[in-house]
Amino acid sequence: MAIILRLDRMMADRKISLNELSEKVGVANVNLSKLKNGKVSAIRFSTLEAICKTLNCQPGDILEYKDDE
Amino acid sequence: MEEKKEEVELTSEEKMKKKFGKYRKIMTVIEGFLMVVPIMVIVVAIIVGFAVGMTGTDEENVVDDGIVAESTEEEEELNWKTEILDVLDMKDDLENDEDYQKAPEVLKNLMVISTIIAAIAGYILAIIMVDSLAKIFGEVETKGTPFTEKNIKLLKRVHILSIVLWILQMAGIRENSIGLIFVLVISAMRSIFEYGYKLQKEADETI
Repeated sequence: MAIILRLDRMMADRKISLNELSEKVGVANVNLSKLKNGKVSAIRFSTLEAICKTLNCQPGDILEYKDDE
Repeated sequence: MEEKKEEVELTSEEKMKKKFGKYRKIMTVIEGFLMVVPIMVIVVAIIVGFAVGMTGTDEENVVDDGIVAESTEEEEELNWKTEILDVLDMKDDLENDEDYQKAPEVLKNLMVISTIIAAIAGYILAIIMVDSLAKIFGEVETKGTPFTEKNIKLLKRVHILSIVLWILQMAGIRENSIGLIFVLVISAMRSIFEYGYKLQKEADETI
């Protein structure tokens, strides 16, 4: 997929664990793990907003576009 | 606010699960009833047949002087056809059907056989339908959604069986359009469920 999730990088920068983030964002641990590993096909604006709010970052810091070709 | 909303959603989901659990139980009872009835009928028929055989002789074959007349081959053939169709409550249909009266002997036999198979298949289909509905409701009860892969497979099974039943009905004596309408309704339901499953998958993959 051309869109890559950089959630693991941001989490490492902010020194926050997956459990802590899932508690603060209000998304299940399993789902957040899927998001981290890029095993999802879509993300809700509300989830993105909550993650950005918790990690104090921009959506662009989490999402990255890479040309497949 | 969000927590409250989530709580309300959870209870409504639980309510839905409970409701579909009840439906599943009703369907299971109906299924059991449908499966027991033919066994009961067969048992009663055997008992009655045995009792009749023990007490009296076959009146139709007894001639005035007491000698049992031999029935011809044609009569025998007609007998098994009419007897079975009488059990299935289709004897009048056979006598009134113009196509049947005009048809040659081979075609007549085929028509009767296909009618008998259609009647039995119809009953089996009814049991499978109720069974499938019970399973679909059970799936909603456990997973909280009817749009699952298992339900699509169940509907596919019902769809194929309904097509077979419709073809058999068309070939048989009793032609009716209910079979075709049933096939169309099931095929529409199948496509709705397939689309629902696609949307469910998308919703599940969205975080």
